[in-house]
Amino acid sequence: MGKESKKTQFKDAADLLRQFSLHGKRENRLSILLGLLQIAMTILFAFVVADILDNALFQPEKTLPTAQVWLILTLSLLTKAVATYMQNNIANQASIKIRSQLRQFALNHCFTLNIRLFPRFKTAELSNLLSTEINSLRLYFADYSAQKYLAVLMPIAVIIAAATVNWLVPIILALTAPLVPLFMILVGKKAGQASHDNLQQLNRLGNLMSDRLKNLQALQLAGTTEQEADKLFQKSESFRETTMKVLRLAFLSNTILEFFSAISVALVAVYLGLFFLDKYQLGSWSDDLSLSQGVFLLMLAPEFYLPLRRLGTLYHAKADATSVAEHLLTLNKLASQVSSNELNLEQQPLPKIDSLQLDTVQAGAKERPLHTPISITLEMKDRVLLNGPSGSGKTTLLDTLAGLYPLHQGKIKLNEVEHNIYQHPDWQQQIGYMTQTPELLFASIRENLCLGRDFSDETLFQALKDAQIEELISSLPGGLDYIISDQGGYLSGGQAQRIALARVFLHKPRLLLLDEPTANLDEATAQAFMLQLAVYVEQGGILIMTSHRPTDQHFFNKVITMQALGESHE
Amino acid sequence: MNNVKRHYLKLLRQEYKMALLGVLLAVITAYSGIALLAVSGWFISAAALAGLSAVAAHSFNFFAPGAIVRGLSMSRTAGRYGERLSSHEATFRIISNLRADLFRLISRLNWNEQQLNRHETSSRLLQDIQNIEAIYLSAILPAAVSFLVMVAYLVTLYLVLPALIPWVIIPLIFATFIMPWLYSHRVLQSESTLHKRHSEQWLSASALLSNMRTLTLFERLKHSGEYLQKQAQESDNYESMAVQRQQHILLLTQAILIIMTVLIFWQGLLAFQQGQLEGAYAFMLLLLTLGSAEVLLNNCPALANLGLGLAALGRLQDNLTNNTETLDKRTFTQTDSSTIGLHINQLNYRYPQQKTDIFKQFNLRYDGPNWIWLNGSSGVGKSTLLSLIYGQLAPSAGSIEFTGLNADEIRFMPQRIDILRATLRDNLTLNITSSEQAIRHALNIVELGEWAKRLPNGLDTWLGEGEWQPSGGERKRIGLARLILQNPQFILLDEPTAGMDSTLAAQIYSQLRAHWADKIVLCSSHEHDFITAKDQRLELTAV
Repeated sequence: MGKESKKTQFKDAADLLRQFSLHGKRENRLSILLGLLQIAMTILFAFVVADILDNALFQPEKTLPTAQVWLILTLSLLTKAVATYMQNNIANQASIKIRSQLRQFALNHCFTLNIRLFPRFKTAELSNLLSTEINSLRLYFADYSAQKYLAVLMPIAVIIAAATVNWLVPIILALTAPLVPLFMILVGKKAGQASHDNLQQLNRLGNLMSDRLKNLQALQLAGTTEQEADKLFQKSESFRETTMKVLRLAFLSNTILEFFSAISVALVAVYLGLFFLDKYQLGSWSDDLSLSQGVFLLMLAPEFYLPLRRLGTLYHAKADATSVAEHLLTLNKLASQVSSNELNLEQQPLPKIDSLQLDTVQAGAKERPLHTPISITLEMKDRVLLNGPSGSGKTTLLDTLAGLYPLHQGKIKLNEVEHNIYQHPDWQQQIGYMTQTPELLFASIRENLCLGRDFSDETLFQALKDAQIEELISSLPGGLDYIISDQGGYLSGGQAQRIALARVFLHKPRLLLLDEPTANLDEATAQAFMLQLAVYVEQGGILIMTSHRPTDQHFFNKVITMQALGESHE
Repeated sequence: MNNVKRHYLKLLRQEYKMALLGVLLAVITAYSGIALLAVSGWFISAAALAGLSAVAAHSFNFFAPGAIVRGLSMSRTAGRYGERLSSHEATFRIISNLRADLFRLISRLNWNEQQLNRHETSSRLLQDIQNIEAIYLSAILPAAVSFLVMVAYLVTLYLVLPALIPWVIIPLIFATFIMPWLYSHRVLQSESTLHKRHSEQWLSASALLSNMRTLTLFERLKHSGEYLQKQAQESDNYESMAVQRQQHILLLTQAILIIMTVLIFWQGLLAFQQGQLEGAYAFMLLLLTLGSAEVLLNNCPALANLGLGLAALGRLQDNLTNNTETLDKRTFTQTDSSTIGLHINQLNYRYPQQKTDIFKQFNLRYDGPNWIWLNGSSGVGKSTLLSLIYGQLAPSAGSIEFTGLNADEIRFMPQRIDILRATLRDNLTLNITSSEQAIRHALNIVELGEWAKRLPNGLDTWLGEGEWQPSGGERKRIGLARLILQNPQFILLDEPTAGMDSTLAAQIYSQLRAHWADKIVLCSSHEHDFITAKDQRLELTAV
């Protein structure tokens, strides 16, 4: 499984879907076999019916079939139904397997890209991809991939069966068949593009609706939801008009299939009827045609187009799958760009931080450094203020120092020795980083603090006390087991931030990176908080933080002043 | 428009012509398809029987059946095309109205900051809307067709040999009513669980992505990924089990229809032997039954879709009745003098789930234009007070009274500013007609004038998801500019300049003060630097 994620080059969306459907190869084969069993049962059924009718109506004795014949007749239909049932179940299993692989593929890419996913992607967009969109591929991988083969194999089986009694009927069927793709190409090429555009437009309309629902509050506060509803209506109406134009064309390809399917039955019926009325003796292997042969042929005729028509109804599943695959491709493209730059990640063990030197360090993307180079040496117990105007790359520098981004340029030395800290687990164990917007999990306060490690309640409360939030937690229903909703729930912005801070204290990092930790605090709490930081630094740690608060400024013993490079839009 | 179900029916009635045309054409298509085979079967067996004697073969009128067969294949083709077009036309017409109307309904819901997750809620609502949209095309239409096909089948049997009807009546009742009912019951049973599981999955994915930094630094990313996978696989397995349980019903339905088919064939042949039926009809009956059975099988998913649609309608209805009950208990009195004012008397408030009151016997009185600062330590209830005054929350006791104002003249800027996926202009005006000049003026007040000019397309630059993303401070200022354009008399601001540097904030405050000189502004902040001598201050303290 791990190897699969290595070769991640896909030509297009269809190629991606094809490669992933290989994960369900075995199930797919079984599904095709079951499809063939179905057509075999159909042929058997036609044969038995033909035989019964021939004996009962045509032969002079006019005998009714025996119980055994009835049994075979019933069993052939039942077997076909059971085969369909099994085919569905197996296809479902395959679909689960493939979707799980796709999800892993997407997740791995998210891990590789980590925070570089943003702002190129939105959290909601990727959450949709990882859950709803991949889930929606159920039908595609369950039905479409097997049906694609069966749409070819089943008609061939019908032709072979028909050819055993007659040569003209298979020719009638086989001659109309090539016309189908021909007409479909003639109509379908234009219709295909149009309906692809149309589907995108439909998505856009759906996105509009979902955007307006998500941001409903803005409209509610402005008191203009009525006007927005009218706008939505007008947009849907204009969409309807353009869509119907497209559909008039797109449904033609469906209609053509319907036409050939109907006309082939009509042709076979008329041919057989006239043959029986002795108008000609063409097409049969012998000079004559028995009723049983006629019945057999007529019953096979509609089966010829059935698989193709079934494939046609899965058209929507295919279109949806293609659009999901396109999203995955964008993710894949971004990931391969990034990982090709970072293939040789040095992962030697890192020493414990005693001192940290930044040597002409620049943070920012590979193409675009954000600020002028920085050089500074930091020792234990240093309190460093990261200063600079908004947009000068303070947050990016903190992200880089946390090992979340690779350096644009320069060296980072640990205890005088250069090391690569980017995505290094040893590094991440030694540092604590609190971002501007506190990241709290949708989980209990305890889980948010421990993040999978074990701490006693006492230790937890000590950390909460250090972060000036113990009182609030004790007053919450359930205390440490109070569940935080992902928007913070009933916690205010400052409270959420202090919980995040307690978490940082709990894990006792040697290097503490804080981005505007006091922005949401009132004066008194901020003071107490800075005192706590002083205690922490004295115990043996380096602190780097940004702050807009003037009263904080005299707390620091070193300052890094950042200067933006060239134009940036923040 | 308080009853959503009734409203949907009304929309359907409005489009009844197109909707009925769709059903009619679909029925014609289905009939033609079945009849095409049945008549062909009759024709070849009648021809074969006639072919046994040269005389009969000579006098056999083969033009009529030939023409009928060709005619049926034409009507099947044309019917299919017409049916697709008219049913989609009807669907889209219903959708246009439905979307707008449901949006109107949903916008009455009280979505305040306490709402668990707006993305999740909106995606659930969207799913419901899609289920409702599908009611006509994938429920009513196929159900009507299979019902009418069943009727046509019975009528044909009656015309051919009435004695056959007792043989099919029970299987038909099962296949048309009982089994689809069972099927839809099973679909609905698993649907609510599946719904829940899918939204849990969404939340885990969203939690993983929005906590990427933290999870990476604490080395919990892989673990969270595995958890998400496990959760997804469990939900997949549940879904597949549910699908399997549905397939059981389908299989059973098929078995019933198979037995019915064999019975009819047998009875047809018997009747022929007893001289009650012409030989050619025996084959025709078989093909007729096979064709009808295939259409009847569609009734199961159709009824399930109907169930899903109705469940979605029900959920919306519940949402509406639970969440639109008015939280607004404020009173508005008009006075003779033109002074505007706010009086709060003996206000109590406690959050649901919380043990203590956040406000107890709280009083407040302001009259006439004023800039009032709302200060206090974090968590003391600044935002809560603003929500109470704006009417988003209802006090547990006490009164909030406005004089010389009506509800439309009070506007609120929350901490979080929503940015619509629309142009900057639309984001500022939010459907309120405003002149270019007014927009520029508002932007200048919040110091966004230059910024807007630098944007790639100026005021027509698209903002929002996947487009230009304003930064935190820019968002706040867009929120303020919106309020300026709305021209309210009473303004509530929740931390309007948090995250901006103090020079910029001071500049914006002084411009806002000048612009809103004759209004009441209540502005929460944890900073004291911007307070001027003219301003009033309200320091909130914990109860």
